Amino acid sequence: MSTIEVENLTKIYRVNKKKPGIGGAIEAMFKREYTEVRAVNDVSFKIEEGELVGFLGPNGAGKTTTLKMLSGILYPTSGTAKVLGFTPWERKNEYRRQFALVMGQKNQLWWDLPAQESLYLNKEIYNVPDDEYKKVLDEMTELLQVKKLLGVMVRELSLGERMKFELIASLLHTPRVLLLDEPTIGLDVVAQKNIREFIKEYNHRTKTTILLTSHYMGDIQALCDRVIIINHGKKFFDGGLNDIIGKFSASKLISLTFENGGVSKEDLSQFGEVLECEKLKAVLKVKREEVTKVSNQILEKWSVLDINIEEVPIEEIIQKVFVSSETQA
Amino acid sequence: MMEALLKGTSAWKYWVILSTRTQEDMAYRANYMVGALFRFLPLLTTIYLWYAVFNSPGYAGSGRMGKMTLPDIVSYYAIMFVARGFSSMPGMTRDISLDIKDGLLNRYLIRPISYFWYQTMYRLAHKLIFWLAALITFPPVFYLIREYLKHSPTVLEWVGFFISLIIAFWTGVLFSFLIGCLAFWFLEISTFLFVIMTMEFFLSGHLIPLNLMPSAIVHYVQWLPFAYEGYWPCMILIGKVQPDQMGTVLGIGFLWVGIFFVLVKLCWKWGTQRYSAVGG
Repeated sequence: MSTIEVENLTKIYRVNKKKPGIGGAIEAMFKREYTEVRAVNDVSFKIEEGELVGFLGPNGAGKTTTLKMLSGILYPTSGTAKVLGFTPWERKNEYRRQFALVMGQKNQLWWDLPAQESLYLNKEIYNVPDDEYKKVLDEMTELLQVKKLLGVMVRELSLGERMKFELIASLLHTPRVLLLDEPTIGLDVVAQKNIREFIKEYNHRTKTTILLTSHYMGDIQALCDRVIIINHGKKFFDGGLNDIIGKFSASKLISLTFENGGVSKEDLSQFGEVLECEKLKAVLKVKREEVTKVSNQILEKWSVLDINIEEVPIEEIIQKVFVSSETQA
Repeated sequence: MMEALLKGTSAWKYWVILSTRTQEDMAYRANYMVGALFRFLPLLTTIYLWYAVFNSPGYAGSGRMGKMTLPDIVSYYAIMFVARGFSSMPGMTRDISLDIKDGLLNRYLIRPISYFWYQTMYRLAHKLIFWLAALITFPPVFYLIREYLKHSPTVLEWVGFFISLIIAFWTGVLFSFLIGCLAFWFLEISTFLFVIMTMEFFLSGHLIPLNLMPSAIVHYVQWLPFAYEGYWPCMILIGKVQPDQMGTVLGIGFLWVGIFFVLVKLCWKWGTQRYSAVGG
């Protein structure tokens, strides 16, 4: 049995639709109009133990709603889900002791007390034995470099430090399933990198099953081999990150450093789309199947010091996937 | 001591919540001290007001207002202050409704913890802090009004009073929780809250003793759950409840607590099923 099994999961919200302006407000006092929003629409997927899967989609795609159903916060309108063999929305304590949900910037820490008090409270809530608590706390505060901050009032910590303690608080009971919703949102690049490395190391070491949503492609690229993409509540893609590149990126980038100047944009445009063209450097976007041919032609024609062939940046590809899913929705 | 008693049981985590909340409440020393020192002021002003009423020239001067004398009234408000210290839950309804409205409930739903017991411990911690301060500030106040505290309660009245305080606490917690849960259905309940709280203030006998109202009204109002939040503890301790009435008074109180427990359980079950977890 897979660790996470989702079948035909659907969540429909009933939302109030108000006409604009004061007239609309008065009308809404007497007559309400409701409309149905399918936040998650017939989504199915399976995740095996120890997998680290990226869950992608533009804002409002249904990612967080899916995570909320998997963590038992929301009841679905229809469909089934089993996580570790449990139906999440039955909210059995036995299940809640085995998973964690981390939502960026939604804190479970008590603001007016040092972080260590909230961590201790979590230890007792999850019934973590004293020696295990000490061991896990030592390990994680070391890994995230926040050991010295355990006694500082939470309100006096920076956003990045708080996020680190959020993670520690969520992992004290060593969950078997970890649902991460935008864990690096609002953090600076250094903090993002720290958290990212921590998640990677944690997954590697503990074999925890992780489902991660993020708008930062850096997170996805660094952490996930597999991604699930949804848009308008529907699953659009489920596969390896490399498969997306193969499926949705028809081009590659050729970066060139010339020995001598004098190569113009016009000269290069016959080979593909010229993205950059400076005195000695140029970047070309060339169709995937023509890369070898074009590279040979350029090398024959000009004296080239360095040539580098790369994939198109993942952000650009994902953007393309989202646009493509819009047209199919 | 509590560690030896509770550790290893499911009650232990709620004890830790209580202790953590107590620490948080004490984090702001100045706020705590001011609150502790001046908490009795409303009691003194209320007593002064009734003193003025009983001594006003327009007053008939019989020494009674309905069935109450001035010492009765002063004792009533002094005990009301104690009873409300058990039954009033400042901010609880609002906090619950905001947790629901803003999706903050999520953080409790995902953890192996009961939100109801979490809230109860949170409030109990607040009460402990209140009583810790009251132990210092109340004795001088009671000493000042000692000549009005005429009635010496019997053992039965003392026992009945302490039981009525337990009923008062649970009525307060359960009713506040229940009203907070309305946010599952209505989201914005602040106006509604204002109306309910005003009603509660009046029907608990906090504003005026219920037995000063026309007897036809008192006959019904005294059996509402609100009366158990203040009126009945006061009436028991000032000797206005006959020994043969005590069982009925306390029994109906427990019945209300039982009804509220069932209602809270049902509301929570139905409410969390329709909870939309917005923003969280």
